[in-house]
Amino acid sequence: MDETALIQQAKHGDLDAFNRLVLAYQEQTYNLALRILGDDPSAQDATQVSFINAYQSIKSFRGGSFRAWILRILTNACYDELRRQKRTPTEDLNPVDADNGEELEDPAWLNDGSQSPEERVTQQELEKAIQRCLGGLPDEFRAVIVLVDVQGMDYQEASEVVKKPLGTIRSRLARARQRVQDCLQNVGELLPDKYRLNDESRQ
Amino acid sequence: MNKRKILSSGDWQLLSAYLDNQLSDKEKHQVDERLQTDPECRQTLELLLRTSKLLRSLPVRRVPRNFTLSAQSVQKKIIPSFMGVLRYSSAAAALLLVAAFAMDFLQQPDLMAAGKTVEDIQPAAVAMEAAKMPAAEPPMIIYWGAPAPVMGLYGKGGGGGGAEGSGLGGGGAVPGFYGVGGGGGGEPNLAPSVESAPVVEATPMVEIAVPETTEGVQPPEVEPQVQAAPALEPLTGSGPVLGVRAPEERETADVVTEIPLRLPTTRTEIPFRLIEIVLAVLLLITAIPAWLLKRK
Repeated sequence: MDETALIQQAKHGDLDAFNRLVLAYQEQTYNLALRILGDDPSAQDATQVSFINAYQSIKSFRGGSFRAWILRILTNACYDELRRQKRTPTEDLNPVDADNGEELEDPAWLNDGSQSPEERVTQQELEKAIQRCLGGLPDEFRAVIVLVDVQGMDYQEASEVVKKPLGTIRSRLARARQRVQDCLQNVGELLPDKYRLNDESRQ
Repeated sequence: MNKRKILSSGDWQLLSAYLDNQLSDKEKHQVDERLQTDPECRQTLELLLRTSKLLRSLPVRRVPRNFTLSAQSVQKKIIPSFMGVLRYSSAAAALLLVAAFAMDFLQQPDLMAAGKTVEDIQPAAVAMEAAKMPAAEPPMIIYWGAPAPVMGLYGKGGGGGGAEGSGLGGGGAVPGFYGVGGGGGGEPNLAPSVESAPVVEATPMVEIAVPETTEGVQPPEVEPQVQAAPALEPLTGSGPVLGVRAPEERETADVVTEIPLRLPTTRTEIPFRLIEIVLAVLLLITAIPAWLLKRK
């Protein structure tokens, strides 16, 4: 069944139809939340809340890109979560290695079985570095760079998600890229050679 | 680092948009030309490209669980809606409280001035009332600008004194004017308690609106008594008439000059204090739970 029909059924209260939309978009929604918020529990909460909010307000959907609409709800939920975190900072509950104080491996469901252990470690280091750099951005910049560079959206769809004009998307993206680039250059020594940005390491 | 000094934020925007093919043909042509001649620009574009590729290399995580909804999960929760009610209520209470404070504050100068007048005039007024106000006299009505009460735009007052000697009097109004009237009937022997009687003070309005003609229309035998009261000096100007009485009613005109002096005291203090207290309590009752719910 096509997306438009599912949306129409969901507007008439068909929860099963809406759940089929959830299954279609939950991965992208969850990954966007994960990159904006930076931690899995918050990303799961924001994803769940955004789907509940979407179902309760689906009658207000007037057509257009359903993906942009659902991601806009999610982005707003992420902003709310970030504001809440700033008001009430919490400690990280991830298990920490008693010897070196570093976080232990991610949960098993996060591991990609197709990678070798070395590749997985390398990928995790890179991901941590990038996530740290993304976390240092202002919330609005972070949302835009995640939408365009991580999620691969074009400017038009990103502007629909964050409800800002194209010029704002363009300027925010440029500044976000500039900051992330500076940040990654600073942590370049921690990255594998092939991921370093400075030219010397690539010779 | 040199490139940061050379390239402006506009250059960064152009290069970033160039990377995503989001430039117009003209802009793209300009960037192409610059890239051919400016090595710093080329290096910055290369770094931007690598940064973008790194970000795109982030793995797509599998969802830890399904986020499908159950019938229970989509039922609107009571707490959030209740919290919304609390938040709006507290906001409304706060606004009303501010408005009440503002109105109360604006009344203060009149009140203070009127209080001073009352102190000055009270002995004379009480004496006049005790001497002249007949028992069970009907409430006084202030007329001005017309010989008889006309249905006006505003009217305040109401009620009347009974045998206990206190009460608010009814006020008539004339088009274009406020009418604040009053008259408390009462036994003459209760006249000394007139200070606590709610029939009081429309003087500030009277002083402002009708100083001129008061002198001209006031019965001659009344005027000297009014002028004897220091606070009533502004009444001696020219202007609208407070009231015109039949000769047999002239003695009540004294009360007209005295009655307005105390009305703001009872009209402003008690209601505003009560309103402010009620609103403050409402604000606390709604704001604290809303704040606690928000913290959760």
